[in-house]
Amino acid sequence: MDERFESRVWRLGDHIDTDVIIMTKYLAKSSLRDMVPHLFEPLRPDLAAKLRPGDCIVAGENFGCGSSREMAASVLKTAGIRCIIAKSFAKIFFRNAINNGLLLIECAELYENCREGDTVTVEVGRELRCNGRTYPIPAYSPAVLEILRHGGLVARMKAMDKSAVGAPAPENPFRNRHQPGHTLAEQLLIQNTGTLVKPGDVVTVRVDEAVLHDIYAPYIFQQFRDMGFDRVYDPDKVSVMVDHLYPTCIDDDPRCFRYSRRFQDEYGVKRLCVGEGISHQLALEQGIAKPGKVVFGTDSHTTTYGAVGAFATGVGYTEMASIIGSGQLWVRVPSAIKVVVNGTLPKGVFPKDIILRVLGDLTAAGAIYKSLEFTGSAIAGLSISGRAAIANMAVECGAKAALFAPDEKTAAFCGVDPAEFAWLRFDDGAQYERVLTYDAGELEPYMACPYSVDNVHPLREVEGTPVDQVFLGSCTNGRLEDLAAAAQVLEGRRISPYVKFIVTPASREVYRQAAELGYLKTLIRAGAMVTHPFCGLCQGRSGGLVSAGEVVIGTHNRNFIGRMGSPQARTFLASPAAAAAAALEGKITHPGKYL
Amino acid sequence: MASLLERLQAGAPLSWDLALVTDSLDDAGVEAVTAAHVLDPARVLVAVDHDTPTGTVAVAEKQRKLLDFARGQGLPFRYGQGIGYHLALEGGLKPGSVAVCCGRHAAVLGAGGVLGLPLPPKELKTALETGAVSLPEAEVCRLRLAGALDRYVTAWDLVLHLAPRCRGTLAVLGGGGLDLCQRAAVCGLLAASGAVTALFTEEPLDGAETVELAAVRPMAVLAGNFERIVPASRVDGLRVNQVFIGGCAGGTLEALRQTAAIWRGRRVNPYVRVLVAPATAAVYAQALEEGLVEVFMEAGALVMNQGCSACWAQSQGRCDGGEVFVTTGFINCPGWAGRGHDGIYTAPVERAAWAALTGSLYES
Repeated sequence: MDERFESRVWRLGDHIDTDVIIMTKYLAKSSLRDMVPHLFEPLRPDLAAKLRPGDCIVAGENFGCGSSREMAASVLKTAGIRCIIAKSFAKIFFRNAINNGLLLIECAELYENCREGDTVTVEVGRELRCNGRTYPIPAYSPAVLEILRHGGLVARMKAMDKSAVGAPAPENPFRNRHQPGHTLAEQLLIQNTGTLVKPGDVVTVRVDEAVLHDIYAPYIFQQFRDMGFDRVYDPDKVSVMVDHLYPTCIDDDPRCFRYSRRFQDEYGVKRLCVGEGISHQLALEQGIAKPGKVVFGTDSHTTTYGAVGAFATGVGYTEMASIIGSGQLWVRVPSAIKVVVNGTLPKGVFPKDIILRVLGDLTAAGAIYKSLEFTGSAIAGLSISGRAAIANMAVECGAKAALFAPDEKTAAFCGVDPAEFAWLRFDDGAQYERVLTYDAGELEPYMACPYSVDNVHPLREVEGTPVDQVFLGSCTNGRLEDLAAAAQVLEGRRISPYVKFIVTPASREVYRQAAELGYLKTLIRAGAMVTHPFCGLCQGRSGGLVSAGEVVIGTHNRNFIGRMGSPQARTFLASPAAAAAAALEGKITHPGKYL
Repeated sequence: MASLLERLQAGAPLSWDLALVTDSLDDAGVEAVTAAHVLDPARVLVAVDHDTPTGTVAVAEKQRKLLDFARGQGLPFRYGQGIGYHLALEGGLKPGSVAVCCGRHAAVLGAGGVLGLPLPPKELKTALETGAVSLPEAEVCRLRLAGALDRYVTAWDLVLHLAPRCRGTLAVLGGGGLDLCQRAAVCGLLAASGAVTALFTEEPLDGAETVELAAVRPMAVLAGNFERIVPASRVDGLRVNQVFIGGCAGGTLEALRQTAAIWRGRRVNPYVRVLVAPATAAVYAQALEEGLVEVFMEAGALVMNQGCSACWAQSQGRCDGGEVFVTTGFINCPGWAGRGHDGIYTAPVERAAWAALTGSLYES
């Protein structure tokens, strides 16, 4: 890395999400160079053509939030962006950028004191200067410095001594013993590493499960090879999920479909799920997610597995290559925020509404790199499906992990003996940075309004808004309970003929049960297009894109600008019951009247 | 009321019973058609059935214009409910009726005894405004199907023999005892290979040529051009990457039953992408009821929403490079299912279903 350089400033705002940086429909292109012309397309369509190698970006808070797509970092790097200076960074993006040797600098004050076109002078590791003012640069952790020193993770892993991979775990003095005075996240990491940890510590975890996705398969594969690995650390612990790109909707997709098979064909990976459903649903159904496990996936909604008490989070494709080769990953122990929900949810109010309310209160940057831990009588009363909806969206406020203490429902769902995870439970002596407390009885239906997930308002404030399309599906709310709620609203009824209604069950198993219980027949008769189980429209690549001015209600997890097609389309996120009611009436409607 | 054949013989302009407008129209076509002031709204069906759910913003804009057109003039409107031709037949369009359509495969209505006339957009606009349509200047070719097909031969294979004879004509067929799937296949394939249109009738066919079904041999349609209909031996053993069972003939209930019978208890080839799409919502619901969908899912195939799906292939079932795509649909142009791709082969339902299991398309 250069000691000192000068760079031309391009200025972007707060919460620049990775869908804006590079839209999902471009991710399957066979080279990063092909993606460069599409940088920032939904927000600033003219910008990509103006970027020059050596330029820098200055941004507000939470730069790089949203999806875990590493392309957001690697395409910026390929375009020659020298560094990004922002008030704060989303953490998956942060790691992806470091792993690509893209310099990130946290600076609270530069943003307000510069304009696009200014020149900033950077003295790496010391300070930056712009318009006559000087700003100190914070130091990096040793783990980050180690990667930057090599110029990126691939080089770092290439240099790694691979003979130690697969060595048996050392004796763990904390095995199956509850450690008082710790958050759930700390307990999980203590159990995994065999050391007493506290927030801020950097530890190396042994990976219990790695979940790979079709959309990144070619890039994971290439990085794995470039790192010099010739076998995966444990073929039983690696899963490849073909869930984003099958059915193939874009011409780049067949190649990713083929690459997904290579991990099994060439490296003996055991679990390959093709067209069976969304990875996060399959992980729950097939026991990849279990209490006590540490799991990484190439998708930001991997946090879903916290519903059953697993420490689970999203990583980029390069990091995943290092995981499947080495079986390990460095993790900075997060501090935690506790969310307590007591009481009973009123009719028409669902787990989705709980997490929407929490996201609105915390905001998109309010839990960056935290563990969000849920407890309380209302939480205990939720099914695993309801907990999954909540854990799923924790990443939308920047959380590293979302956690629920496993209980008898977890034991029944996962088919495990409760005695096996008795060590993992809430502890009164644990230290939380913040505690949010809610009375479930006072909650109401909420909606995340355009264009951010934390722009949460009570549904009644936007009731009556005409609706053009409704999407019922995704890893957030595509499960049996969700289809049941929609079927209850739509039983014996037909939706407005001018509303496009797309239903995507989260897995074949959900589909099968929904078919058996008559939900699918109800929804089809109501006018739905029921698709095969997969990620579907949530990605915004195809399968329900809309034009300028159209309004979409979705049960999924992101309403970023451009994510549903036109940047001038508007997406509201809601519970399945609210979505179904909107389809019925052709406008935003309180679902209670139909339940 | 004169029979349809009598009206065809008379050659005078016909009043039509149904106008079908779909999103198969391109942007210019949509502009032309939606400018019409519709004479009789009750006889029009605007069905968005091709690219559903929508694959691009441009198509969404196009579909929006169709929605506004329908809503503005009180026209029956169906979004994503299934293939327009089958919606019309399910909706009670009777044999002997006349329909004007914007799509190439209007002949599919002939499976229900309806005269389906494909019209260019400007003529369709005129028809919407006048309620009438002139017959095309084309020979009426009468064919009577006799006897029965051999065991491993399908009604689809008829087109090998009939396509040259029916090119440029208005084909009227009778006899044969074919089911809806088979009739849709015959009519659709004849239109795709150059007939103006085709239909089946129960009316007496005086002077018809006899077609011996027992003489029919298996056929295949080679990629790139729907006039390249050849003996199936030309593709015998072709290795396959993607199979689609759906479309105007492949999406019928009969086709789905046939496919389920072949796949029951078995799994599709893991290296082949397999998609199944019911033609309409009603067919989908019935397929669920009969347990067919469960067979498809258990076999590892994808079950798509009702509609044109991967026959239209603009946002479902994309292929790349040298992939071989076996379809029960009627479109096979170069570049249709993928930029630079030229490998769409039309096959009958049975042979497509077997290709999904074995990974190869065989002549029978």
